[in-house]
Amino acid sequence: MRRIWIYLLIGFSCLTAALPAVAQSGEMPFPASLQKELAARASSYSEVTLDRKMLGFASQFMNSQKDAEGKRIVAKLKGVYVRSYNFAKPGQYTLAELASIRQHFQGPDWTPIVKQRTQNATDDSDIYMKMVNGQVEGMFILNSQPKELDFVYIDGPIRPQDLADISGNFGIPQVKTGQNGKVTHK
Amino acid sequence: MVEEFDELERELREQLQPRSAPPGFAARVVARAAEQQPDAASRFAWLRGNSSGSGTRHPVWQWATVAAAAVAMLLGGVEHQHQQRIEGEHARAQVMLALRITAATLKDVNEKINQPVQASQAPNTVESR
Repeated sequence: MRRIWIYLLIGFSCLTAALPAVAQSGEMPFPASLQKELAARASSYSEVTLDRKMLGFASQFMNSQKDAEGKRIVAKLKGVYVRSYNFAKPGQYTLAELASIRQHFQGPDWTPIVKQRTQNATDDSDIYMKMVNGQVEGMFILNSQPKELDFVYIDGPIRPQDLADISGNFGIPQVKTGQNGKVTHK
Repeated sequence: MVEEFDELERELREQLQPRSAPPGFAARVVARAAEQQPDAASRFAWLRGNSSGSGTRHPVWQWATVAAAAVAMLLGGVEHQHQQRIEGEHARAQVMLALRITAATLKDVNEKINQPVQASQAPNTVESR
């Protein structure tokens, strides 16, 4: 009887040890606790999490002409993670919190394209590209404003042309990326 | 008085004495029970299209059951498709929202790095490749 309890204890310990590894396989790019805190402080917010399976499912229903561009873009992607928080007053996020968001995108594969820093982080901008074997395999965008904080992670191959298409197709003036990587209005 | 009691006792003994059932009694009881309670197999024989059970056949009920099953399956399929469509439309709306926010964020960053830099509002660091 005592031996059974010992086996059960060992089994439970193994299971508990394996759980973080399982959790990592469905890894979220942004700190979960921070997202909850930001959402609690926000007057309104949008959080969109779409993994490859969800993108594939959604694309089955993107059959109209106006969805064609979006469908083409998401067809290759592994995931799209969008967070947008609007605050009633300034000062609702800290420098340290922005640093913890950026932390996931600091590996050797990530290349900063735009990195703008301001006092108190109230007007920061980041665009990082994930380069693997010379190919863009992901993109991270962060934009902070006194009463707004937006960050986006697109996982998967995305071309500069896709960015221009995204900009031009959703009621936003089109953006053109030049050879030097500088972004200009079209 | 004692004689009366003796007589009563004798009658009681006679009446309560065990007697064997008449011949064929058990067989008659079993036959009657079978007539009154047909077994479950024969009761549902009509479902199998088998008339041997109760001796009667109900083709209307048989077809009605098949039709009801078909309608139930059809309705289930339609409901499932409807549910899938709702979920699909929701997922599609999520994709479009994600793309819209991404586009708006890109636009904001673009405007920031392209706006003329004023000394009072100059950011501490700007890197652009």
